[in-house]
Order: sequence, then structure tokens, then C-alpha cells
Amino acid sequence: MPAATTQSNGRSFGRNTLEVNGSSAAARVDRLLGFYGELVRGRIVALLAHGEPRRYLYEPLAVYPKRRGKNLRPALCIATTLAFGGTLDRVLNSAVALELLHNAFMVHDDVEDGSEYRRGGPTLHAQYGIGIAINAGDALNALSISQLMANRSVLGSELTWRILSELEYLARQSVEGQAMELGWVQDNRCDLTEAEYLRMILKKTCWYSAIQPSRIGALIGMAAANDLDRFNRFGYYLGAAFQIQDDILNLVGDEEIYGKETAGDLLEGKRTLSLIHLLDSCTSGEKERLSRFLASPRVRRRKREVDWILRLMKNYGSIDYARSRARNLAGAALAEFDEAYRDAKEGEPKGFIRDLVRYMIERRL
Amino acid sequence: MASQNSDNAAGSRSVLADFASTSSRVVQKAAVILEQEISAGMAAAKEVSAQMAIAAKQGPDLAEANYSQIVDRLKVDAHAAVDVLVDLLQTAAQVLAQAASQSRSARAASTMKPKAAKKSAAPKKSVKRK
Repeated sequence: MPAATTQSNGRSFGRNTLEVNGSSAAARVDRLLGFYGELVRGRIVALLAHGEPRRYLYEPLAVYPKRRGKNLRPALCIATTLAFGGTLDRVLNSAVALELLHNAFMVHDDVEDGSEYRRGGPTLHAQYGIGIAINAGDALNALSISQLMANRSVLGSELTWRILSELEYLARQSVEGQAMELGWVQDNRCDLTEAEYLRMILKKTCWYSAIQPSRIGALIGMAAANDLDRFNRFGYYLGAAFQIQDDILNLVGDEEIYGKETAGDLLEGKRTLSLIHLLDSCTSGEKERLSRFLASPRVRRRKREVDWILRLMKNYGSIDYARSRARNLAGAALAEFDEAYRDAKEGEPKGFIRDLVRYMIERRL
Repeated sequence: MASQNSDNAAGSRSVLADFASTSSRVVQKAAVILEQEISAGMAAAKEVSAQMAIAAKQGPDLAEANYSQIVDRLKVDAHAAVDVLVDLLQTAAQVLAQAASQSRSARAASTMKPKAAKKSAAPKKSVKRK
């Protein structure tokens, strides 16, 4: 909870003024991410507080929500609604649904990718076993839908239908994108292009992390807007900058802050923009060795090989390349922000979204 | 507050000014990909969305029936969460088709001439006699 005063209708979050410079803008984004995230997290934890079987379902269900995440999706959704004149009580169900769906994706993705750490702790399947984890992911999906259905009494049938259709679209896009990424790893694709990567992250990440949260937020804020497509480019560029920064942090981030194992993506063989750039830039001998590494099972991948790849990435400028692309995309997102939020009233929520763009490429979490 | 926001906006813009160009190669690529994906999938989604909105407007009983079905399914099988969303769309489309069919029948009946209406009622009488 931020130090600033808050009102329950969410229209104003306080009078505290922050100094106007880069770091204070980041602090403001952090504060509001935490505040919006806490509202949603509190609702989720309360949802999961009761229910049986506790030990095999409701306890594991609450593990990820209890660990602090970035809260990007619910925060973007809530802030967009508030910026367009809506109120917190009208958007909260949808924000909670987005976060529950995100948690469901994380649980299943961790199983699919064989990940070991998430949000500073062991992944759910590492802690409870694969079966319990997959079932918990299913339950999070179901809970997400129940939140969307609860919208009906607050928003009415038409708006509820429209939000449901937005969620259906983003869920389908996300699983298609995840399928692309898993397939590339399975087939050991070493010939991928930047365009293929951009398409994959549009589907896997951007629709559900940025585009739809903005669209849904605007839909609620404007009470049935008809020109939601103006949020597509903004959300895509913002989401792409976010994903590329996430990939970079995975390679060179501080493990304690980032919350996942360093270079975990390399151990999982994920085709990130830096890896695609490296495969396109290195010598044929290096590419052959890289390909052998990526073809081997995860358990046989060694840290010294990962260190070698990281050195190569630095030598060929692959990480800097990804960083510059993230900045390009963030810049484009900022340009699109003006169009997408042209009717939004000036104030803290709108300022937060604007600052979020820059935060995406400067964050360490 | 407005002043603070505009100052922050200016700060963000100056930091991103070097790479804020929408003409950079990666942004152009991304824009093309987005348009392709939208034209491939979003048109269909919009169509379904519009149909659902119409179905919801056509009558609270129809919307109520859909919600009851969904709630029942969720209670029975929480595992089918994603399937439910897909089925939801299909149900809405079916409801719309039914409503359209009913509407056509009603229109046809109202435009029938009195004689034709009598004719169509005749077989019913014979059925009653049996």
C-alpha cells in the first residue's frame, strides 16, 4: 500500500507529489503497480482462503499469488478504466480474472518449460509435483471465468459478453504463441528470424499482457467503447518491449531481484531475440556447437556451456541488439500512447500508464 | 497533479526521444505482423462479439439461459475451463441463429394473407378430429 491516501472508488490515489525525474517516475510506477496489484492480490487470496481439499488444491493455488509479481496486467487494466472515467468497483472483477489467468498460464508454462524457479521460490510443480500443479492451473482458469461471470451484476450482460469475448481471444492467442515457442524448442529450430520472434511474442505475451488489459480497461471505463483497435499497436509495442526486457533480465539480471534462475531461458532452450541474433551472427563452427547444446536434454546442459554462450552474446552484441530493439518498441509505444489514450483525462492513472512505457525497459524485476 | 504529469511525460519523451521513431526497422516489422494477425483473427472475433451483444439484447431470458448453462458446467467440471469459453461462443451463435429463425417465422406469419393463413390452419383441424 502506498503512503499516499486512497479513495475506495479509485479515482484518486493521493496528494503525495514525487520529484520529477527519471527515478521518481520509476518509484511512482512501482508504487502504483504495488497498489493496484495489492488490491487484486487481496481479492485472490480471499477467494482461496477457504475450500477443500486444502492441502492438495487451495494451498498450492495460493502459492504464486502470495509471491509478489509485477502486477502489470491488472494494473494496466485498472489504470485504463480509471483514466477513462470508470470506477474501481466496475473493473476489479476483470482485473482479478486477468491475474488469475496469468497465474494459470505461469503454472502450466513452468511445467511445459521445465522451469525451476518462479517469483523467488520453487515452481509449483517443483514444490507439489506435476499432477497437483497442472490441476491447480486448471482451477485457476476456472476461477478466472467465475470472476468474469460476476461482472454481469456490475456491468450488465452486453459488456460482460464483450469482455468474455476479449478473454477468449487472448486465451487462444496465448496458447498458440506458447505452442510456437515449445515447437521451436522441440524441433531445435536454429534458423528463426526476428519477424518470427515478433509474431510469437505478439501471440504468447502481448495480447494477454498489454493489448487486452488496455482494451478491457477502456471498454469498462468508457462503458462500451467501439474503437478499441486503437489500443492494439500501443499494447503490442509495450508488450514486446516488456518481453524483450524480460528475456534480457533472464540472461543478465540479478537473480535475487528477478526471481528466476539466471540464464534459465538458455537452459530451457528458449528462442529469445538475443539467441536468434547470435545464431544469425556467429561462425558456422560456433553455430554447430550452439545447435548441439540446444538439442541436448536440459539435464545435460552444463553451466560452463551457458557461460560460453553468454560470452558469445556479449562479443557479438546480441544482448545490446535486443536492448536497442526493446527501446525502439518502447519509443513506438509512447508515440502510440497519445493516440490510444487521447480521450483519457489527465491524472495519476494516465500518468502511470505513460511512465509504464519507460519503466518496461528500465526495470530490474 | 497535471503539471507533475506533464513534466513526467516530458521526461519520458526526452529519454525515449532517441528511439521513439516509429520508422525503425523492428517497429515497421511489428506493425506489419500486427496487421496480418488482426486481419486473420480479429475480424472473426469481432463478428462473434457483435453476435453475442445482439443475442444479449434480444432477450434477458436468452442471456439468462446461457448463464445458467455455464454455471452448471463450471460446477460439474472445473477442468474444462477453456472449453467452456469456446462453448460459450458456440452457444451464443446458436442462440442467435434460433432467434433469427424465430424472427423469420414471425415475419412470415405476419405477412401471410388471411386466406393463406386459413389454409395453413386447416390440417390442424383435421388432426384434431382424429
